[in-house]
Amino acid sequence: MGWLHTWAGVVLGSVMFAMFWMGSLSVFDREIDRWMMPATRLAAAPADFSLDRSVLPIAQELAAASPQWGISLPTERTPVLRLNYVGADKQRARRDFDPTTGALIADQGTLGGTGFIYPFHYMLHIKWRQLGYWIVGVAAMAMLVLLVSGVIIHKKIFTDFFLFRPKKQLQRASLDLHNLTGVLGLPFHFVMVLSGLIIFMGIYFPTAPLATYADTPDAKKAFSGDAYGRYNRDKANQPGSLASLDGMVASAEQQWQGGRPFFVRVINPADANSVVEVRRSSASDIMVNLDQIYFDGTTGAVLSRFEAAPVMTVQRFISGLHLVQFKHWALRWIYFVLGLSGCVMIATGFIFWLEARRASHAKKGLKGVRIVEALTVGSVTGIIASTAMFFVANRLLPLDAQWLGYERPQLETGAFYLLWLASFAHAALRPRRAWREQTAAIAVLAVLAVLLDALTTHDHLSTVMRGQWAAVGMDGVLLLAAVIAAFAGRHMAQRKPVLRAVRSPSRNPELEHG
Amino acid sequence: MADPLLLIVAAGAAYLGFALFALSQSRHWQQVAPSHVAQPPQKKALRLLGSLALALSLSCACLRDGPAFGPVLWLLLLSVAAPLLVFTLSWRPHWLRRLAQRLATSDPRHSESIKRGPMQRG
Repeated sequence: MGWLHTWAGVVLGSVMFAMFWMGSLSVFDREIDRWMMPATRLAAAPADFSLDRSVLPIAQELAAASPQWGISLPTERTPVLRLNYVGADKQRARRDFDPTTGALIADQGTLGGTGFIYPFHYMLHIKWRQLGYWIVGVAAMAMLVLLVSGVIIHKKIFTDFFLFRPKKQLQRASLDLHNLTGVLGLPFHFVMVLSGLIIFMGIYFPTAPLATYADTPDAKKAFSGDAYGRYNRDKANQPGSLASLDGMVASAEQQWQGGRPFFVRVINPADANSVVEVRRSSASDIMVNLDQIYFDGTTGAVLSRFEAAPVMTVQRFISGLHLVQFKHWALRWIYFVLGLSGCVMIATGFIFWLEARRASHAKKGLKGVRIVEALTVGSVTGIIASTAMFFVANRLLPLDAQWLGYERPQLETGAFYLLWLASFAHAALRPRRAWREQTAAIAVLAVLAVLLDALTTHDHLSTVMRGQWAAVGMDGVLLLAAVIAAFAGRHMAQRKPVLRAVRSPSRNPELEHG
Repeated sequence: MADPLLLIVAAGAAYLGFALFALSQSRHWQQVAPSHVAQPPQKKALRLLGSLALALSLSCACLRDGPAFGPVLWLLLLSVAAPLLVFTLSWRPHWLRRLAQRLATSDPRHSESIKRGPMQRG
């Protein structure tokens, strides 16, 4: 069991760290959006907000030629109106509006937390043949194996339950921390990894619907219609006008017994057979529901109503545990902290592997430790520094930035990927100093991001007054990250003599398992 | 006002529960309380008190968030409280000294265990 744990961990640890890191940040993806898109740091939408008055005029102007348009309603975490439509140039377009004034918010030129960090978490931005999803899936399966095998090879779980000896040598201390985060975070990590796999059942089991829907022409479509809901009807090809959207929303809220909508879509808006789809928000449940009601656009009569079947309800509950779409700030912070504890678990696993082999590999002339150490440094401190670089680039680039034919969002992600690549090269070239120099880079970049935010958004101190907690929290966490990185760097520097001492032949055989 | 209070009590009780469980292990008792001060209390009693504290934590979490969110909040609070306690034991063990002194007994029957001291773990 030890060899399984070791090999799975060393081979896939880098991918897992990236998933855990980006997943932890995704818990606050919308807060990161607010920070990266300063123009969307708005006050909460007014209570008497009206779709007919605020949205309809905008949609009829912008999306006149669009076969359908959708509007995401403002929430506490995303206080903007977001309109999706197909523009006159046949391209999909997305525009944000201030719900209070109806003013168009200038494109902020960034993918932000929801567009870059969150998809990175589950598909690594590798779109080719869904390869990213599959790499993540394999890593998640490996993580399940690692969690279980870790419990099995850890012989004294209850005796060592509260054991952490930071003053011992690095190898022992990192194993303690690895066990600690692994055992105490086990319920959270196991549920998160498993539920992550269950969310993407359609990708990991692409042919499963064929078994049940074998006699229907398009099995996948039939399955997803039954599972996730879908309604449409043919155009009448006669002009029609929309009834009150506010009336349909009120009717939906009544049918959901107070459940709030979060998304409204209008299909064939100018046709006599228009359809209005209203989807229910999941803010008050753990489950991410699939409740949707379809109205006849011209009369406001209910055409179809969908709620998930019992099996799908279980799937949606498990998904909901993972996706944290509910409104619960205490749980959101705990998710963030426990996600990061998973990062610590992976990083300390790597460090233990390295320390347990450093002396013997040096003696036998093996390259393993050097390669894995470069890989570890790049995938632990490297990705953290690159994320900070992503934030710095966001605040440095002007709104209309363009360079070598790349648009602003690509320049931001380019900065991320370039620094990440460089961090691996740096770790390979300067193995002795890589940890220290990269933690220093994290601290500098994080502080720089906060300073740049203060400089570029001007109204900085007043954000606290105006209750812009997303931006305030983001700055606070960046500063905290800088402090932790600085401490970790100093610790690494002080550890150096101890590291050399470990190189001497007096190894502790007890620590050599695996 | 009740919500933050219940959250604090739920988190505090989880931390206290784990502290009692840790003190029921000789290794951690000695980390916290210098052995000459008083005798360690009975392990079973400590563990019972610890379980009661964890149950209090669950009740507060359920009272605050209901039967759906309550248990989730409680389980995750445990996963945060336990490492915090471990870090206290490693870096600031004296924070728990007063708790240990309160719990210590002067019952001579238990003096055996202290003589055997660090050898007897569990």
